[in-house]
Amino acid sequence: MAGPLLHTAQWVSFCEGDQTAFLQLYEAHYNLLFVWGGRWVKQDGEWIKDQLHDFFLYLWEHRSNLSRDINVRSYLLTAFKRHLIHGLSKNKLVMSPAETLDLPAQSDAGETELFTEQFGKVERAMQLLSPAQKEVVQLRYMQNMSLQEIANHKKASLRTVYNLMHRALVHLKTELLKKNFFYLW
Amino acid sequence: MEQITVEYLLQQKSFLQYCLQSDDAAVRQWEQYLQAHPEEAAVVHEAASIVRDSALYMQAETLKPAAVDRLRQSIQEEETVQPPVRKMLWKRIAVAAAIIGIIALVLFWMLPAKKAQQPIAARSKMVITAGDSSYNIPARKMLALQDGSFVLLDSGASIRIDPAFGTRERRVYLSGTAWFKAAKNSQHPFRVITGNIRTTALGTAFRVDASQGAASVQIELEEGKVAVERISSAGTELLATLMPSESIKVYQQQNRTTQKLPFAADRLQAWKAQEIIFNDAPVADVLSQLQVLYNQPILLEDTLLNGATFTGRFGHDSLSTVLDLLCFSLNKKYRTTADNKILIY
Repeated sequence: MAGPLLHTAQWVSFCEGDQTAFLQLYEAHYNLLFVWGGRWVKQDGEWIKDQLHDFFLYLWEHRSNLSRDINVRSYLLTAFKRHLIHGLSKNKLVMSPAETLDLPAQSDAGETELFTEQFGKVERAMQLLSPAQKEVVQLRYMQNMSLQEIANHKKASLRTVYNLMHRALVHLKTELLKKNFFYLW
Repeated sequence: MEQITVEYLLQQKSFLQYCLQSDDAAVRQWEQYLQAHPEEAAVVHEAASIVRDSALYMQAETLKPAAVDRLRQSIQEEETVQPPVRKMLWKRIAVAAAIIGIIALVLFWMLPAKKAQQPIAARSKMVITAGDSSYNIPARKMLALQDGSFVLLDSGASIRIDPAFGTRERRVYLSGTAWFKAAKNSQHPFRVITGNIRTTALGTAFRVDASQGAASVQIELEEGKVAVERISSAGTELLATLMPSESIKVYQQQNRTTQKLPFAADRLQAWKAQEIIFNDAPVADVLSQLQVLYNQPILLEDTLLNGATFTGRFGHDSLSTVLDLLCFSLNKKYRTTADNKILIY
């Protein structure tokens, strides 16, 4: 995982009002927090997307009050979880209560560690796929399309789709088998 | 039966459908399986989290570029909309609210689709405040939202447009007193939220919540229909559905009961008209505001005049007084047409 030290530097710049550093942090943690959000709520991805946006806006507005000496990733995971749970229970109104920021990061440390590890596996597996392979996997399993339907959708031959899918599955199996997981796709 | 493995599960198409909730029969099948085999729950959950995580990961990757752009736009806009002011302002309002309480006047019409008004507000997240002398804006402010809705903010009131305004619903957060005229759009409910009370316009949808430490919220309905609800951890509780000319005072506290009361429409009209300020406003804007405030269609014969500007200040004036002055400055006359519209010619 690209150095936590790097993110610490970005975090400090962000606290001082650096927009670029802030957006880099958002980009770097987007997938992690999105998947993490899916652990806590049953809502669809659109909802998680909106919550993530609101959460980062909240951070931006309160940047001057944020602690600078933190583990960025665990902090974001824990704070975002609080944000979601608070949002679910109280339908998240105009201002988040201050406790969203004051949470003790270590309390959920075990939980976030475990998640980070599992997420790393998924991320490595996904990074092995080319964009075309990813698209095919997505259409096949997320949208339940048959290989023929995918071929029609992509205006490609059935053979091409089949090859893409086959190579994708080989990649994923290889990565996930390392961890004793056989992965279907 | 042999113990199942994560590997086995990931090969079952119905298991994938169960994880992604994409097929009802598959969902039922695996829920029944789990009930019959509670000892397999750990393995099933592990496999399910892999599937769900991967699905979310791919979704996240697709959404990321647009999300980063959206956040960039939001924070850049934030910079132009006085960021430090915001916190102080809310604090101050919260204090004031604790003392005097908040009265939210919420009105809602079924407005026939209007031509696009000039979008003054509602791009993404922004705060529009009225009546704070330190920003040199008039005590009251009339806003046209991008969807054709209008908001009349009383002095000291503050409204925040949700960043996602218009994507699924049209949500605004209100502190203080404001009057709303929501444009009709059944696809995107209009909601006003103040604290844990929310008002939803039915048909075109509208929600109001009032909190910020305020003890109560008052809602008065002029036209249309709204639902008033209280949100709590236990869920949403419908407090009342208002019909025209009804008002309700609702309390943030759960144990206080609420009561519907009639209200005097002329008092509301007086409140709306108590101060109207136009400052070099385009005539087209002036007319659209007057139409909304006086609930009276106004036509302008010479459309070239739409580009002209008008400056004037009215307090508790009748529509005819306002029109007299407006027509005088435009060098025009007005009359009521057969179908009860006002024509400026």
